[in-house]
Amino acid sequence: MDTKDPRIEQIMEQILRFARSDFRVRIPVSGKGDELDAIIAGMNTLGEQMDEKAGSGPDFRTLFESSPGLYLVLATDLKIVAVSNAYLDATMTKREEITGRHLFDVFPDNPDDPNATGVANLRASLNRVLKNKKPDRMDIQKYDIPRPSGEGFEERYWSPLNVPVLGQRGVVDYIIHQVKDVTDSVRMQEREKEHARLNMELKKSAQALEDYEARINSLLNVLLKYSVLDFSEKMQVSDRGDEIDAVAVGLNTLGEELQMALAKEKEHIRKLEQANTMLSESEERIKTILQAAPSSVIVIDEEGKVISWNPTAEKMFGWKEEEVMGKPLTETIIPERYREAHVHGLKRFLKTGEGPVLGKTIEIRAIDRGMREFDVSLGISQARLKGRYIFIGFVRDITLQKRAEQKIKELNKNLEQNLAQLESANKELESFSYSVSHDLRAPLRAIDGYAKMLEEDYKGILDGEGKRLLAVVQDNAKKMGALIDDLLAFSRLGRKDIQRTEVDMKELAHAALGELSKAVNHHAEVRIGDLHPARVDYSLMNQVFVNLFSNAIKYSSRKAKPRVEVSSEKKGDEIIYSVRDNGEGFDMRYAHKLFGVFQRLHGKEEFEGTGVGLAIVQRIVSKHGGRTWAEGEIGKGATFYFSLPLND
Amino acid sequence: METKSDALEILLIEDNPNDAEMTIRALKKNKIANNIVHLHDGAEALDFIFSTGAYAGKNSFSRPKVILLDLKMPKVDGIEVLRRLKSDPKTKTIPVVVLTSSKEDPDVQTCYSLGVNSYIVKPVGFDNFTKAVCELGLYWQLLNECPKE
Repeated sequence: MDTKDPRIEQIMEQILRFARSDFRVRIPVSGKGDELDAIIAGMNTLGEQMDEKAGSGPDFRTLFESSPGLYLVLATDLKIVAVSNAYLDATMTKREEITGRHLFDVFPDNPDDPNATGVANLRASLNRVLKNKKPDRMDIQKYDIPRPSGEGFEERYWSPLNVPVLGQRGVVDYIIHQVKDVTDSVRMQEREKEHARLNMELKKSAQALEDYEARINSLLNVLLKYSVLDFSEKMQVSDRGDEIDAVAVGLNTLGEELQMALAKEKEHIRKLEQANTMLSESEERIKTILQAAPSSVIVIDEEGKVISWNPTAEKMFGWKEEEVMGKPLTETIIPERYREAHVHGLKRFLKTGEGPVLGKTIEIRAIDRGMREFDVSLGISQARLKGRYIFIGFVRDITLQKRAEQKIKELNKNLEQNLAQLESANKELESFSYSVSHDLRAPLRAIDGYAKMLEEDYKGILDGEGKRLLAVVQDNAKKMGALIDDLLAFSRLGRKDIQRTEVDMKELAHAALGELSKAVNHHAEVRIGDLHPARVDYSLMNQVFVNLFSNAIKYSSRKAKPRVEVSSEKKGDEIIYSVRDNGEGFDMRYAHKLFGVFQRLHGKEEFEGTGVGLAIVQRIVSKHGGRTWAEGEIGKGATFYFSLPLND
Repeated sequence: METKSDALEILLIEDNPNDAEMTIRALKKNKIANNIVHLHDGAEALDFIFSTGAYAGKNSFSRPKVILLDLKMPKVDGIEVLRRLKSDPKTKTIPVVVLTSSKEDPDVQTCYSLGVNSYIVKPVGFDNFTKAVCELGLYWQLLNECPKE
């Protein structure tokens, strides 16, 4: 028999179990069929029988110990009283090794873990249970357990619940310490946490990488734009302060500098182009001006030779441009007598810078190709061209102007003479008027007076015919006196200034009529309409109405019912006044003679009058800026009009 | 020169003999004045009034009631006579009436500024002339009170 047969050991253990009334375990039968198998079979049967016997009442210890939960029953002095198998498995302990021992002797803190709090926390919880007599659930605890081999501790996490077992008098007899081994789930959680952290890290890294790539791309983009001289883009400089930022700052500065340089260059080019355009434009303009200039434009150099000759010069002097280019002016357009002065003047200017004719316009004579000499006005100005002087002459043919000036001078002289003549004529006229008024009237007074004396003193001697003859003498003397008075009044009008006031023309016409009716007996019906007021000289305008009324009344006096009508109307920019009668009228062929002095369309035998009245009317109206005219028909009457300007 | 009574009534200074004759005739015929002295020009008038020239030492001037003065005269004209009359205190107060051919005469204005008392325009018609002269003479003789010397 081999003493090392394991079945012996099993059998020994089974005996011990049976001694502890533990009949649950069956030893497997090896099948060898020897005496050990027989013993085992016998023991198994015994065990079954004993189990059946025990089944009549529950074995609580066995039940407790077999509970799948992890339980430890502690006495109040924290010594281990009972333990479940599951607990033993979980803590890698054996019942016989730990039963009866102090809890913290069996499970001390892990000396390798300086942060271990398992003992303290568990002790606190157990004390609370003892004190409060209530269950106490603890947070998940890290509570490492010693390895059975004695080599250090194994990491474990627990979820403990301590429950008091109260005795009959309500005192705590035992504490049931229940735990769940949550090591795996805690570890899982930690792994998950770690995983998440790693994921995060990874993500961050990826983002940083992406960012980095973007910045590099942006750098490249900016660089690319720079390469085509576009400096508008600027790099975003982050606050990272890394090498990309450094590059970005450098690049930005460079971009700005380049941009400024480029702008300067562009401006420079633009100015050059502008100057070019202006230059060619002004060249074109100058050419056009020269071509179209109404003056001859002639340019000569320092030797007096022609270097420019415009079309007007060609026309004026008869020399074609190609004929005179390079020739001195002395051989073409300067008359012989001025040539020396021209050459001398040119030399003097080049030597001293003095040129009395420069910058001025002078009048001088020139000759054309056919040696015809004529008046020109000449303006010369000098300019520098490539270090040498040129002289630009503007020449205008002023023959016509000169002629006109001469004519004006002559006319002016004539005018002055005429004026002087007119003045002296006026004076003569005045003195004539004076003579007329004094000297002509004196003999008339004598004729009339002596005829009267004759009539008075020789009444008895004179017969009827003698008296008639005397009367004719007197009558004519009076007529001549009236003529002289009218003539004087007429000439007086020429000298008198008019004094305008606002005049109610209707009232004025009535006044004039009244004045006339006092002096002349008449039976005419005079109708004066509503006349427009005007700004006129009252007394002169009164004279106008007196004369027109007098005329109208006189020439209608032979009618059975003489009628005179006065009216006015606005027409255009004048007011037209009219005096119409139903008298003798006149032949329109002679209408132009009506307003002349001493012009009469009727014989004196027909109507009295000196022939001055209408001339006076015309003179007064024209002094007011108006016109006079008349319409008539023989036998049917006449209308006399005069106008006055409205806005005078 | 005519003197018919002691008291000089009217002094007529007129160069035109016809006008003078008609004036005197009218004055006399209408019994306005009898004692009329007629002087033929300004020079004679001044000599007569101020006792110079032909009238020197004769002291013939006695104060007239009115002087009728023609303006247009040879040698010394009426304006000058008027000026002398009105600038001498002795003659200043004698009324002077100017006779003129025309009211348009520019001398009329001068006469007023020199202090003439009145003027009349000689009308052409004899009747009117007579009437004017008579009215004038009558006015100055009868109505106008002369300041006493």
